[in-house]
Amino acid sequence: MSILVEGYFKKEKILIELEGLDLQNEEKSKILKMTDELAELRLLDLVLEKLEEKDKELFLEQIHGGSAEIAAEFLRERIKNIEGLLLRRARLLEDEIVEDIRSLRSQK
Amino acid sequence: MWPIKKKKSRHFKKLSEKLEEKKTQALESLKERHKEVVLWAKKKGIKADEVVGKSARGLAAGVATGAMVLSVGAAQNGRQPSKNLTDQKEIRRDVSDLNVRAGVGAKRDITPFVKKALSKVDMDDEKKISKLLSDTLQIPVTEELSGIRLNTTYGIMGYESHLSRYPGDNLYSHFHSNTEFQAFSKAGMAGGPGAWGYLAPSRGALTDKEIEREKYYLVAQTFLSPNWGSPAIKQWFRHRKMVVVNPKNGVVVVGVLEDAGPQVETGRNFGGSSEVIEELGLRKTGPYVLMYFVDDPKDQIPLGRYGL
Repeated sequence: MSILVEGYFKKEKILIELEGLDLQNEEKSKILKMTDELAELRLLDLVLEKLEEKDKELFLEQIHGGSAEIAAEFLRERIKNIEGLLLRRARLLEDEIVEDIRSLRSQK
Repeated sequence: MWPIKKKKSRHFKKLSEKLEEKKTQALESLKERHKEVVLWAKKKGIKADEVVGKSARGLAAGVATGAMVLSVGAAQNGRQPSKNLTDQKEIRRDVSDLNVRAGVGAKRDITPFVKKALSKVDMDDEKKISKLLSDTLQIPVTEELSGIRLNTTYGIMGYESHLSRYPGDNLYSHFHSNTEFQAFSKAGMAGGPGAWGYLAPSRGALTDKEIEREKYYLVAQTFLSPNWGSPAIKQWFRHRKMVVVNPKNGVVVVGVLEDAGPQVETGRNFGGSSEVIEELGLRKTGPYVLMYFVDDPKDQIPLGRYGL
């Protein structure tokens, strides 16, 4: 799991909701892994959405063989309050998944 | 209650299908909305799908490393809270005119004594536990202070996110050393302050004491206290110093109430910052703790792991 997901995407609420389903531990782990993958996609989408066209390629270059520090610095320079934005996007996804689980639980 | 018939396969199948669908949609949306990603991937000779996975990991590492760089920068530009706090804690433990007997006695490892003292006690026997803890820790520990008490003194402690100490505080401003960041950033941020508001109005106004308070913050269901009901009582709980004990390993942490919760539906009774949880070793022993008030009107007992 990426550090980004670890830092922003919290699975506590999801875990609590999963307890309401009859899932084996292994199945729970697979579900959580899938939520991480989804979070990675959504958070990357957010970053790209906020970057200007010309910066997207520069950013991709940096994270593919460039310097991690420079990539981070790059993001902070170009996206105001990047941390807050990532946190909010992660929260939305958490709530969305919780709703999905609840809806599944309520199905007969 | 009768056991419920297992339906694990059906639930897993439906939920995993739903998540896979969302993932596919997110990937398609990413490629659709950010065509330059696809073009860039083509130029590099890799599949667009691979860009996503690699980008996410790269981004993660980048931002996280950057945050560490930022943290170091913050320390260099001003105070170095981590070291200051350690020094301050030692100094405070050395103060000779403490009204309580925490000074010299608290420096030894008290875990075997605590563990032994609690080994044959009913966890609901508050009077006995108050006395045992007061004697063992050599500080005034009580289940009721000024006639006020919590709904329980024993129960499950949950893992809490970091609180925003001032408006704008986030994961990248929160930690004051790389070690702290690496150890505790996983807990994430709560997205706001605790039940009593921010600890400080701004970053500039944040003191070492407030940093410590957030670091060792505790959460209790103050709204379930038998005394609950007035603004004065709510205020009384704020920054209230408490001792948390893990009866399984004898570890003791002194913290302060900075938030109300957890919600009753969670089944938990208390909450603790990631620092508190780690100190108590709850991951290894299970989540049950004792939580009692510490009578420390002059605020002389330092926060953090007690007894070392």
